[in-house]
Amino acid sequence: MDTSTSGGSQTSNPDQKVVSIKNVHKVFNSGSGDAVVALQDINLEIGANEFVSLTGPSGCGKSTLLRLIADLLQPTAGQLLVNGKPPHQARQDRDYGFVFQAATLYDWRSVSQNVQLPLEIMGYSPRERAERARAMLKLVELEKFADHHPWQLSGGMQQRVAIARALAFEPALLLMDEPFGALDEFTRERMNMELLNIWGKAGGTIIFVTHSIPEAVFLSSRVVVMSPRPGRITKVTNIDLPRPRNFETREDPRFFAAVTEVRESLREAYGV
Amino acid sequence: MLDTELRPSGEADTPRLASGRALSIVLTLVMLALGLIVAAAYVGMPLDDPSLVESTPGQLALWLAARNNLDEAATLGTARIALVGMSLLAAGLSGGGLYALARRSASSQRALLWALLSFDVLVLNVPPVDGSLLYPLPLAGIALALVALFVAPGRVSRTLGVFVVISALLCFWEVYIALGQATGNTLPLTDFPWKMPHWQNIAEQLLQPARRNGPLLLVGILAEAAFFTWREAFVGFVAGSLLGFVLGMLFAHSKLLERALLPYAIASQTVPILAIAPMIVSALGAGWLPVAVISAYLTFFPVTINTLRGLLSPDPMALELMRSYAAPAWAVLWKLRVPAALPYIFTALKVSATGSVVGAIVGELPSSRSDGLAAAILRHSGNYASQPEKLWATIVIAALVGILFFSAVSLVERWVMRRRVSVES
Repeated sequence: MDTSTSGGSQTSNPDQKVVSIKNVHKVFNSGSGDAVVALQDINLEIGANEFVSLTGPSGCGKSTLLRLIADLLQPTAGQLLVNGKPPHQARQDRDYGFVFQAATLYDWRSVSQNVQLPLEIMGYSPRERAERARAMLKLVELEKFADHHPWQLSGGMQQRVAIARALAFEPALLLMDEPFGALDEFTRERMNMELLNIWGKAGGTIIFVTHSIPEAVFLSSRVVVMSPRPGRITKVTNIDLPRPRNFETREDPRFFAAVTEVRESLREAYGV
Repeated sequence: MLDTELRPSGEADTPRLASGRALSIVLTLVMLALGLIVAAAYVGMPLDDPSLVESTPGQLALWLAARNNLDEAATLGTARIALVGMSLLAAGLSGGGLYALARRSASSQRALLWALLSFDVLVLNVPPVDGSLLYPLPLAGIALALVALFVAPGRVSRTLGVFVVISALLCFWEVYIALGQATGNTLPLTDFPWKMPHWQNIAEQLLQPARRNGPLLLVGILAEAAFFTWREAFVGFVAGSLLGFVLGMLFAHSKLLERALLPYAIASQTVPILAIAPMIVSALGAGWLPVAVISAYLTFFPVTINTLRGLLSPDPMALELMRSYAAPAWAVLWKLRVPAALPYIFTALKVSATGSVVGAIVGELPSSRSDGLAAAILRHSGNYASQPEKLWATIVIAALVGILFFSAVSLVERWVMRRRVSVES
């Protein structure tokens, strides 16, 4: 196990960590004959206002790790803390927003009503809901589409609505599970730019799962490389590219150097 | 974004047959001529001609004259004008079809459909009189219109199929009767005239007094009976749908309840309703209540099954989203599961709407309700051999009740679902 898990953190006080993962294991179908070790001995700490990507090939457990943080799954062993609390408590306190691989918009709701969904559940007043939905749609530059319905939008626009919905209640932590995985290369690069813009305005911590190395490098302050069978963290790489990042960043030699570094750590994990 | 590849609207589609347009132009020309011939035949027709007296408007004219002490010649004259008008309408609508075809309009098929319907109306009004050449002409019009519709270019509308089938059936039915007569009644079902009555006779029967010299037409009596039965069916439909919805909710909520109760819900539908109905009637006494209960009994099951399916239909990610909000159970139910179930529930409600009418009719039988459709059906099946048209007319009205109820539920569905992706788009 690589020891660079402390690479991005400046403080040593564990209460300051947004996410703190210690010796976490996750076994699916535990106890039965077809038990699968999805995650083995995961240690990771993520500080405030970091942008951390989890990357690796299919089956490396990156999505599982994200779901453990979100309390959509429970670890078999080990300790997870989100904002210093157990994930279950963090979920009850609505500490994070989650963006799925598919936009999962409800098609009977307009764009604005979709953004308001979490606010309705959390008991915001109608006036505040409308105001926040307007502000969030402005943030993702879809204010003109507030009254459209999801099926009238392109895939990239739908995913922007999903991001606006996740940010509507202003969580300090945003969990994103391959949100641009289904988009074409051009749209994806544009969405990367827009996500950085949104992050620049909204702030907070983002944990981003992707299987695209360039995407991970372009977005992140740290890239966590994972490998499968059993899922484990093989390397954590700091990305020191200057911000704000833009289309020129992708042509910067330092960008290529970072992509190469991450790619090689993946190859080492496979022993190729 | 929105569908940008809409077909150019002014241009008709490629015809399915290369010469389809030319052929349909010829056919509509003949239809136009047929309409004009029928009109011309009626213009100078003597008032005692059976083709006028036995026609549907002719019979209505006689009833009106007898009831209001009017001059028969005057009312029959009006009936003659009505028949001329219908024939000219058929000719005119055929001309409209011709015009649309000549202009290569995209609405050619719609124009032809209207022409087809006008010939249907004509067949229901012109009486089959032995030796008269007038009756086959509108039938030929229907046949030609059907062929023209089949080969004509243009987009097929949604209502087209319904009317094409009923028109084809009408045409086939009447031609079959004619064939039976031509072959000396050797074809099956043509040996006795009451086995296959003419559709015109059924239409005419609806506009005849329900009883000899009675004040009310059969259609009026049947409409009253239909409304009477529909009210019972409606109560049963509402109660059955609510019960079905609640059961579906319970089953979706608890696997245990589903395992325990669903087999009995299924079993309840395999028990013949005819056997259960007398028990319900004797338990609840006479009146509308047992009828509504029997109607609800036939209604609840599809709603239960589809509510259950619909409530379980949201995909795992949509549910995880709710979980990520730490959404309470009521929010998951009312903001995700129920909206997702609505398309399923409406499908069931449409099935139940027609089922509730059948249930009410079946329920009326043992409860001896004399004002509903069941009594009318019983009354007219007793006289079937002498007056088959009355039972057929009753069936037509009973079917209309179901169709109208179904359509009403469909309208509500369209209104509720107006913001969703429509199947058509």
